[in-house]
Amino acid sequence: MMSSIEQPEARPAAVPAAAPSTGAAPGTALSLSDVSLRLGRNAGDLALVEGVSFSIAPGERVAMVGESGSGKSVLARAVLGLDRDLVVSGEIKVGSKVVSGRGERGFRAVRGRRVAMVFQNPMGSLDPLMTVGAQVAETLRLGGASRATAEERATSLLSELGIADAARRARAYPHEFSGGMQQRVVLAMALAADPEVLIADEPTTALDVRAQEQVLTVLGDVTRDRGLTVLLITHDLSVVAGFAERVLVMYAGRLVHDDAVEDVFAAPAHPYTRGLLEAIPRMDRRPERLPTIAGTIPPPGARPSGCVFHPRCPHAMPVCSEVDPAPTPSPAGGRVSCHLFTQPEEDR
Amino acid sequence: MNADGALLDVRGLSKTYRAIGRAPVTALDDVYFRVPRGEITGLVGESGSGKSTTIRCILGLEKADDGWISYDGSRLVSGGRGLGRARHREIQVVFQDPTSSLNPRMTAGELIGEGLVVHGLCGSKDERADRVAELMTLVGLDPAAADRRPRSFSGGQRQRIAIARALAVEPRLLICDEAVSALDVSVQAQILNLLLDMRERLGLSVLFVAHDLAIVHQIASEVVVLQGGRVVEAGPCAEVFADPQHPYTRELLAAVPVPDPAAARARARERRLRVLP
Amino acid sequence: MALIVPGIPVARRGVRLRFSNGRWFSRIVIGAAGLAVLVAIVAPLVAPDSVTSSDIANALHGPSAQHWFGTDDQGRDVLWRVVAGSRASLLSALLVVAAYSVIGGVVAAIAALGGRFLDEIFMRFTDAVMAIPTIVFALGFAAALGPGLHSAIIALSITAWPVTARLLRTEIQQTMTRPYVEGARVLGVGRTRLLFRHVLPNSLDALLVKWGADVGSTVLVISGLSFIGVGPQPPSPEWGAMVNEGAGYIGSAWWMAVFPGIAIAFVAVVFALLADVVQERLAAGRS
Repeated sequence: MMSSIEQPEARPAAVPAAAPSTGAAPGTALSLSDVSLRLGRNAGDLALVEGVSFSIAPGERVAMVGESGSGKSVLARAVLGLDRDLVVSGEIKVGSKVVSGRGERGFRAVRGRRVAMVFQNPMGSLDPLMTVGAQVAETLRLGGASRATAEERATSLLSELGIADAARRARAYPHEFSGGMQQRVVLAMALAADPEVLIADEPTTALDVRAQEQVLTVLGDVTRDRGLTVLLITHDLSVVAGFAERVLVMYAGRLVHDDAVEDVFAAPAHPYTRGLLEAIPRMDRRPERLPTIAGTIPPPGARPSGCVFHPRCPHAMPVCSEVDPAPTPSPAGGRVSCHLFTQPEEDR
Repeated sequence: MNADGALLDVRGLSKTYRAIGRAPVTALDDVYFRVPRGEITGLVGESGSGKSTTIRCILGLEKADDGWISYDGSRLVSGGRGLGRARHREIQVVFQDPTSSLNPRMTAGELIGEGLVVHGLCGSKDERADRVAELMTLVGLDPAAADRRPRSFSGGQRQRIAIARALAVEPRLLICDEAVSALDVSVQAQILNLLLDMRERLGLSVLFVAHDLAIVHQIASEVVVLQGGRVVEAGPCAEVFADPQHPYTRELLAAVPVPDPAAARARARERRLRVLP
Repeated sequence: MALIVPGIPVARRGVRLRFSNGRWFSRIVIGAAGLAVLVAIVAPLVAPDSVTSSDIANALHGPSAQHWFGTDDQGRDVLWRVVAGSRASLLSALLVVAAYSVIGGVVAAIAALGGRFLDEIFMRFTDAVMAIPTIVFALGFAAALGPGLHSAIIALSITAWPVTARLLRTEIQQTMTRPYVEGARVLGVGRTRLLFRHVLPNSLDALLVKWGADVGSTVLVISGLSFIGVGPQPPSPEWGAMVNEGAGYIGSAWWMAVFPGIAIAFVAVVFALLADVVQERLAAGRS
């Protein structure tokens, strides 16, 4: 209510400028090439993420999976330039537009308007003193909508996200909502700016099982209806199965595996992906002990030479400790960085 | 009272929170369940189901309005100083977030050895250090790391410290309050296996509180389902999961993520049809 | 935006990041505070008699090789008086802060841990003490015990603790609800150990900053008291009094007021920074 009134006329011009969708680069909605994130400018500075390349086609729904310490969240945040003390090298493109390497300006042009992001804790994104309807409407008004239209659109967005009796609930405050409902409001805010890409960083991790399933279902529906490109960041492979088309697996700052979701679950190429998958407790089987991946993920700065995964890998060979495996085609047609799939002679 | 051999027997536990100017909130309403000796019992429910209040009452951190908690055949007076030191030793707890449940200013060794000091379990300092090293090895930590503080350990390692700290005083009942929920799957699997090992090797009984049914399915032999402060279903895991009687249990089961893309998508489609007006 | 890097061992990250922006700075601050205290302890023992005895012939000389800070209206060396005055100003301020921190700490601990009844009694008592004006109380003390530094120190210690008690009580109550404290209770940790091992060390953060800032303001209050005749009396050196005396000569002999003024500012800043540094060091022990 309070702050929504002051800003609406501030930058109406920005929206028409950003609105024409990316006709220029048909193949990709988001692409990263050789992106590294370091804590400083020197080559010796601590690298959180190293040499990650991937691209996501418009409308594609991709999950990025990895344990804490894998660098997946920092990488997702880097797409929007959220961590200023990080030095980004390589190139990040949204559509055909290069956003990295131009400081704040590059990122500001895409934040919210072309790339929206939702986080694990919905309360962190909501103003406790503003009604949820007003918060969704605020985003719309920043986009230049009139007050009445904004409110109307806000209500319809909320109801599209499965909030029953949205017109009435729009006048409630965030604390009157459950965690799952708050996350829906945050999603409505993200969608209000009509972005091309949605990055969801562990959006259901803090939720109860039922709320998690509902939020994922509704997230799947609205993004599918809009043909939105989605990058879902999660540590939980099991939530990925029903949601994503493709899975990117991060480990110790590297992208180690990239395959279609069916192939990842049916025959995971990378030993780490397989380890992650097998460690999930399931309702349909109950082994005496769950298979585990020995050891722990190495922190940045203590990452091993050669393949980052080799100290924990059940298939480690002599070459694994010496040569960092380059991404090679996986049997299923994706990419995998593992010596089980590299041809020794092509290796160097 | 428990000739049948349950280590912990909870009956009729009720608690209502009253605050001036607010409607009273019933947190627990006639909660009952048992933890058999040497078994792992799952206590399942979502946030607000009363799981936390139940264990806080068992631990004596809160006082129930009504009800009966008996431990090893004798009644536990819940609330305040009711639990004597001996009881404190026998019932230990591992909390969800190992970051906030370990004093940041103490070293791993001090944390693990604290119970030994408090209960006078190890005479000399050397003896204590040996026992700490033994416990660290038991839970899969490197004893050389005893002088490091919690922040220099990973989340999974911190949870191992918390478990070692609890096991140090040789408890008979370990309460795990969402102890693996915050952990990565691979670490979670390690901790679950560790608990199963401890049960086998030390004869530990475990009350395993969780909201994730798949985890309970993996680890527990009995399960109790809480909803809104009431027990809606209880029984052996195999039976409850194979043939859930209460609609809430069925709903919880239906919400467990299926790690299989085709099945998960089919289920999402079917759900959508049901959920949409 | 704080960057969180989980799992990096403290030492490694510390070495890299702190060398550039924090470590030397914190060493300098700690060194400066230590030096100030050392001077306050040692100086009065070695200061020449001329600190208090006047030598009118040499009055109001500006800073020179012989008198670095110049001389005052009585012909006394200003540098020596600043150095010697550090006992009355700095040392007694530290003593006051330490004394009321302890009083406040004890009250806070009893109130926070002693149950609702004791909490109510101690907090109402705290409110009552808070209502006593320091100056009036100090005047009463001076009347009873005679004017002098000891009256000022006692009066300040007795009237200044309530803010500490209130803050610390709230902090302790909050720390008590932390999972690690509950965990320690479940483990069977007794009250004393619980308080000193788990609760107090984790409750002092906000207080440290306050105490650090208080050193500077206490120096000023002590000089205020000496001005109304409760604190140390002339001719014994005291920074606040020196500034007051010097104020009259600010046009002709600026050094009389400026150098003790700088000393006050220096002490205030150094101890406020020291509080920050200590807090940071403590925080480094946590995640």
